[in-house]
Amino acid sequence: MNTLDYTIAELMVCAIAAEIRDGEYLAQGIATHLPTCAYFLARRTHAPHCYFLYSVGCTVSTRQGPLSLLDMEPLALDTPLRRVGYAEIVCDMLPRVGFAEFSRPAQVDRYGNTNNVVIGDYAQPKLRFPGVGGVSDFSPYESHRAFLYVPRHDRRTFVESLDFVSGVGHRPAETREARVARGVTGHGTQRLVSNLGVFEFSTAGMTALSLHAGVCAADVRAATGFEVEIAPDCPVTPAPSPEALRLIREEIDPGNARELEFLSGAPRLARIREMIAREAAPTQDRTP
Amino acid sequence: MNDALTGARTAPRTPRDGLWRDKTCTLNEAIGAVKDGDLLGLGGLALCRSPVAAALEILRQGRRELRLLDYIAGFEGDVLVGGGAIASVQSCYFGLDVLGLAPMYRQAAERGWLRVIEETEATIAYGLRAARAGVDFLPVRTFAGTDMLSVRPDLRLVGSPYSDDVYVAVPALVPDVAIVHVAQCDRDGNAVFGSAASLDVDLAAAARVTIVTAESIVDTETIARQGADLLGMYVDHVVHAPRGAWPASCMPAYNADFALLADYVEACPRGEFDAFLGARVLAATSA
Repeated sequence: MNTLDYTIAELMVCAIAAEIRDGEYLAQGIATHLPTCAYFLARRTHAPHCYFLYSVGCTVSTRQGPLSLLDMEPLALDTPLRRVGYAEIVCDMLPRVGFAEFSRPAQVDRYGNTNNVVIGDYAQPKLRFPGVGGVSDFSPYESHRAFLYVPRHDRRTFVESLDFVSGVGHRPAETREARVARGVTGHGTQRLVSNLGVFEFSTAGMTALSLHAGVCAADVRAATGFEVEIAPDCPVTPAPSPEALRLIREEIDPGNARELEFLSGAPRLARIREMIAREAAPTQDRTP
Repeated sequence: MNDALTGARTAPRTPRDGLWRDKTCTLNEAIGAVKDGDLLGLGGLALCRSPVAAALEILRQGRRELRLLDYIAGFEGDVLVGGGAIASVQSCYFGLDVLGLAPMYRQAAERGWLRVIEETEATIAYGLRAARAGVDFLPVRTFAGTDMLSVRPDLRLVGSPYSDDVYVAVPALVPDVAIVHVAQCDRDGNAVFGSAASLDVDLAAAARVTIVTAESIVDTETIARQGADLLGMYVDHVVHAPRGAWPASCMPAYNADFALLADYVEACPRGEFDAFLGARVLAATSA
């Protein structure tokens, strides 16, 4: 895959951006640079009227700027359309308006149900994650559009059975009526963009919509802990356009924050230190 | 059930006096309001406007068995956990932004040293709104299809009196003490946040006692020109605490100290929490 003239991060940014509809509200998580890069790209290309709902900063805003580590809060606070309290977002907006949101699951099953709470036994967990944020609140709301992204597609993340269900996808062969009867009025996880392909969830399971260039069905099956539907003629994910690549590299994310989500542990921390040093170096006024 | 951990299940009905007072006092005096075992509500959001100076003073005063309510918890929560002051945590997200998992919280949660009470954005937001409204609970559409109820057996369901709908009865969350750090505040507690509102107005209004720590104490006219984010009617103590969120941010005055926090997440897993706190945080704040 090293013959490609784009990175997997850039391809994922473009695939995420492609799911965004013009004019919608795009919810950001905390330190989710990959989808944020995609949201900015979407607003500069096919979705010029979308709004950003910045969680750090608590604003509804049309502002975007170069992605960074240090200056995301100042960016969110820079002349937003409106500053919002979290009760307004959760209690007043979500029940009637909803947002599109790409979140990153610790585990996902065949039907798009997710876990962001613990790995292992709940009472004595092997791993405790930061928490669900609002993901467990979305399932009753039809207006919410829930997407997932996974930078490292492997069997630790794509599992047959979740250790805890904190985000709602689908149940096998369940009718819409049965779903609504148990309170799940929302549509559940719709699509997932990983470093291997783009996938759709339904009551029939996970289906590949496209595989990235150089990825074959066997690669996906080897990295997925459950059966995944891949048609023999499954298309190749469209390559990023030259203009999208230019926007990402030169304007939206010249510091390459998008790559952070592919790193963990010591390499990630080393990369963060480099970025902090680089961003702190130039003399610039950080006060908005 | 679980009342010892989640606190009273009834909303407070004793009124605040709400009258103008000069509420300024020292940090030491204000934190005296925090008692062992209290439900302690901390404001801010991740690494933004975190009441770090107040958290350090709570540790200095030796408080124990606190039940931490911290909507989106960051450094202030992690130092309280690391310092051994926390018995339980109610939070929907506990992390250090781009620096990832909060190391002392993660260690304590995985080793069973504290009790994690699973919360979401909605259960905390509606819980505080219930307390503000003076009702024992609010009916909320949430959790459908998840395992959340199985780990919150203390939560009851309630049927609509008007239809067949069933809701989660999210109980009132009444912090014994809430602490909010702000950019500017007058002597009565009228405050301008300067950055993310988070849930801080609801937190302050729901609590029995509310402490505001502020970068600067200003006159009421200065607040009025910007519009108060929080009114003094919800505030009991006002403390001048410059750089009171550091190493988290208090925009527009200062950004978070990400370089120091990167050192922190490296030091803690090596068992160096106490040494780091003393040499890098307390030494810098007392200088």
